[in-house]
Amino acid sequence: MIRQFSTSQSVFAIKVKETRESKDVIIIEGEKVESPWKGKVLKSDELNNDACPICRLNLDIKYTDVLILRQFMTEKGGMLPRRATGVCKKSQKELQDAIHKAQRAGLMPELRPQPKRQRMYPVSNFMWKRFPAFYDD
Amino acid sequence: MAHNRVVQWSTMSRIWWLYDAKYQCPFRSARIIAGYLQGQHKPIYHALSDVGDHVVVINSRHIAMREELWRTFTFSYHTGYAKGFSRTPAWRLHSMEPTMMIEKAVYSNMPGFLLRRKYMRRLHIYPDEEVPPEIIGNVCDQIQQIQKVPKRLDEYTAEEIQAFPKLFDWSEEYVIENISADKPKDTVKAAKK
Repeated sequence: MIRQFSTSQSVFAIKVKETRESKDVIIIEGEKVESPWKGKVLKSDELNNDACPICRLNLDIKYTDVLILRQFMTEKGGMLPRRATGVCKKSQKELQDAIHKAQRAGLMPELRPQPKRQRMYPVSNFMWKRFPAFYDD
Repeated sequence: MAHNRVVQWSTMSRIWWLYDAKYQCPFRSARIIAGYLQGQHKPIYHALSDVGDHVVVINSRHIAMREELWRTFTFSYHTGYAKGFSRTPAWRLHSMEPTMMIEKAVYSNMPGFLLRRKYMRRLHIYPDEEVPPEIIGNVCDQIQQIQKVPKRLDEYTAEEIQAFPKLFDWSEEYVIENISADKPKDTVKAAKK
């Protein structure tokens, strides 16, 4: 799948807005929203701009690079999907591992995954996760 | 002017070292602490002459283990009596006794000679930064931390986070979910204009 690059200057994402008119009618609209960091994205002639945002940097991203990992996460602690960021499959897996390691190391105390459903196992099974871990990369 | 008499006193003296175990591996730190307790860092070292120093370890509650060792590493003990064998995982022991892990690691890192118990009496471990004044008053030097402590997200200022270069811009297909109280998940797909 070829990702389409827009030649226009501004890039929009779609924000969903829901309003209730009456009991039976709901209006769902898509509103175009600009990203807050428009114009500040890292781009230069030296970088290979055809590659994905992580491959073009040519960097070895470790789990301690919290400022980079934070950009690919939502405020709730989950990861942004590939269609939002434009990252290739390989780099997405690398980011996933790095974010998991950073969360186990306690480097992102606010961006922790939230419980989705009722607990299936007792809490005592996971008490070992409260202590920090480090990784030899 | 350093008199030879004073120089001799200072080489034969016993020094109190401080070690901060925050976010350090207990096993790797124990290798170094055991060396200081025996006096292996001194040129006058001999195994039978008691030239070891004191070591004060603080923040032993905040140690870190590699990957999944908190779950998989076990400490075993047999009381000597029948049915006296027990095995405790590391997270369990650490939550009950926050100083025991470093103590056991240092003990096993020292050679099994008769001076070992004597050297262990010179090791003072504290779970947090609170140390009694009579001990902290003796401390004169610090052992460097073995592992680099990574910086957490809340330790960065808001300006530093904003000033950091952004790596990507949103693509056109991305739909930001607007969460309202009574909205089911399937309505998101029907919304693209």
